[in-house]
Amino acid sequence: MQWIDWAIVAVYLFWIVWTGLRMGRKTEELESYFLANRSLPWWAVGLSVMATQLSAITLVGTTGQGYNAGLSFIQFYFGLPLAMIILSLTVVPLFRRANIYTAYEYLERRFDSKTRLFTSLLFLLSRAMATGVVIAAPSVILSVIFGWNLTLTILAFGIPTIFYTMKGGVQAVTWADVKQMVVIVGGLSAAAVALIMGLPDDVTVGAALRTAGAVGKMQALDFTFDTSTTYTFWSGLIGGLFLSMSYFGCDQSQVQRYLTAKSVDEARGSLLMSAFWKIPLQVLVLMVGVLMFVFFLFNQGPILFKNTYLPAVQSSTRAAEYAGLDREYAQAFENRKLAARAMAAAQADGAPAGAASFARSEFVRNDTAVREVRAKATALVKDVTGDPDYNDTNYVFPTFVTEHLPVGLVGLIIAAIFAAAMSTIAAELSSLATSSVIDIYRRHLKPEADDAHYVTVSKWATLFWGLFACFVATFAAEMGSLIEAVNVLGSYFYGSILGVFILALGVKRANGDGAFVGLIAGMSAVWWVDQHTATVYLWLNVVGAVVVTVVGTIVSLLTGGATAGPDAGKSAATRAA
Amino acid sequence: MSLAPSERPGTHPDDSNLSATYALVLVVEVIVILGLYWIGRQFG
Repeated sequence: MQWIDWAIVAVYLFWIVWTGLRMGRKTEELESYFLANRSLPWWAVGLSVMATQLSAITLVGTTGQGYNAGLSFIQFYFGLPLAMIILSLTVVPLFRRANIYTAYEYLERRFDSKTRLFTSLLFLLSRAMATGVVIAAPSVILSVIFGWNLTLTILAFGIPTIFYTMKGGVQAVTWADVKQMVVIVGGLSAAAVALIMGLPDDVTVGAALRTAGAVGKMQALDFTFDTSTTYTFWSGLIGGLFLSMSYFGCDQSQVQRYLTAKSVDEARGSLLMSAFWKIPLQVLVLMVGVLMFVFFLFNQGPILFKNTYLPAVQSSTRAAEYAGLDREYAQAFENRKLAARAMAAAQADGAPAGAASFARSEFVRNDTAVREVRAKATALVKDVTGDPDYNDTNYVFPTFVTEHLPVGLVGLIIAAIFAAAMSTIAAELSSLATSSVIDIYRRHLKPEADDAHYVTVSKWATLFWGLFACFVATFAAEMGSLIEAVNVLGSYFYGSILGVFILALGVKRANGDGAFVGLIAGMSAVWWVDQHTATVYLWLNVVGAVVVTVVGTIVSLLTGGATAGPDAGKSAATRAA
Repeated sequence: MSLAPSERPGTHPDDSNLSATYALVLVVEVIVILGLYWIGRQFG
């Protein structure tokens, strides 16, 4: 990175922290600190919702996925717009009018305190671990790419975010999110333009996309109904619907966003912004990946994008074999490049009939040869390093940015990666602090205290969760499988917690015992299905929600039906006091 | 269920009718999916 890139990243960090501090000045009251006095406009909340969901893992990992597998990952989001409509009709008005701070607070009013305590603890556990992973993933990648110290990189993500979140509460988080969203979209758009400008003069955008399409990268839709295939139209539409309903409707990191809106209508508007824009935004992210694939057809990249293994391989007994693969790759790359140019030329007007078909099959054959060499190199690295999870998907985008983009643009994209990570981390820290103070501290440990006391405790809670997440990040960074474990852990909870809310909202006779037993049964069922079948994680959300709803209903009926929560009968205003 | 009326699911007199917006969300999603299908056919 040149000094100008460093300057851009530094200006970005200063701008965001300053925004957070400036917008979060008047936060002496709890409602102001956690809910911005329920005063924010729909567009700011909507951008904050989108920024929270778009983490650095999304930015770096999804572009890598576009490079490797094309547009098919977009199916993951097909259930999201439907979920937003359902949530706008159900939980948004409910939560907004109940004057609650957390989603779990509602469960105590509807059921009992143990259901609230259990769900909030599940949230705190899974979200705190996930926040560590959100910090770890980009830290590892940037430290590898730039040779930065890993712990310092983790702190570079964590400390500024902890600082403005702690100081300014949810207002700081939201207004920083708005600016971060601008940086993210600006960075992605700049990368897309740079990739298009980087095409050879004789290759049009249409020809480039047809070249990518020849090896399946423009094929977004897969209509097969197979629960063992991760991304299909049906897993995205149905599994994605349940996942989105759970994430946006039951996870405090998202619920807290729209609780800050001025009114029910403004809260609905904030969610509907994602309903309209989430899929197009993700198409942009994936298209950057597809365009990188085209870029690396004409510009030779490394045989493998993650090069931390190189010293180990070069000092092993298989160093000569790896060097041979490297030469084989260089030759296969040249052959594929010629085939790609021939394919682009064959699509031009006046090309002889049949030439396009022949050129296309030649390109596919040469691309297969490149992929085979890369697969051999990957297997060799796994053997030598003993790392069965070795994968270079997340390193394609950072490699492209640092080695092929002009000065200035590198700084902008690195700032966008920081923005994506920090917006997610800030929202998660704020929600962790809210749930720990409202659901645990104020509810069980110190019910009678003034707002100043709770705000002070909330700031300490934000600091605690921030440091905890950085601590988890240092371990997650060393253990690739832990990242996957945290994701699997999340999928155990998500559908089941959604089931509890379905019981609360949709089953009049459901009671606390039913919800509690249903929740245990749902998580157990998800564990069993995950361990004993090949069902992919998107479907686990459906399993969890359905089992909780069915078991919860049966247990509720067997135990006498609905009972009033301890707060039933009091007015909302009394309870909020 | 013993919750206050405002805390129960359902429509509220103060709510705006967003049916047209919800319908538009669905129309946009169908258009996007058809667009992705077309991209697959055109460039695949």
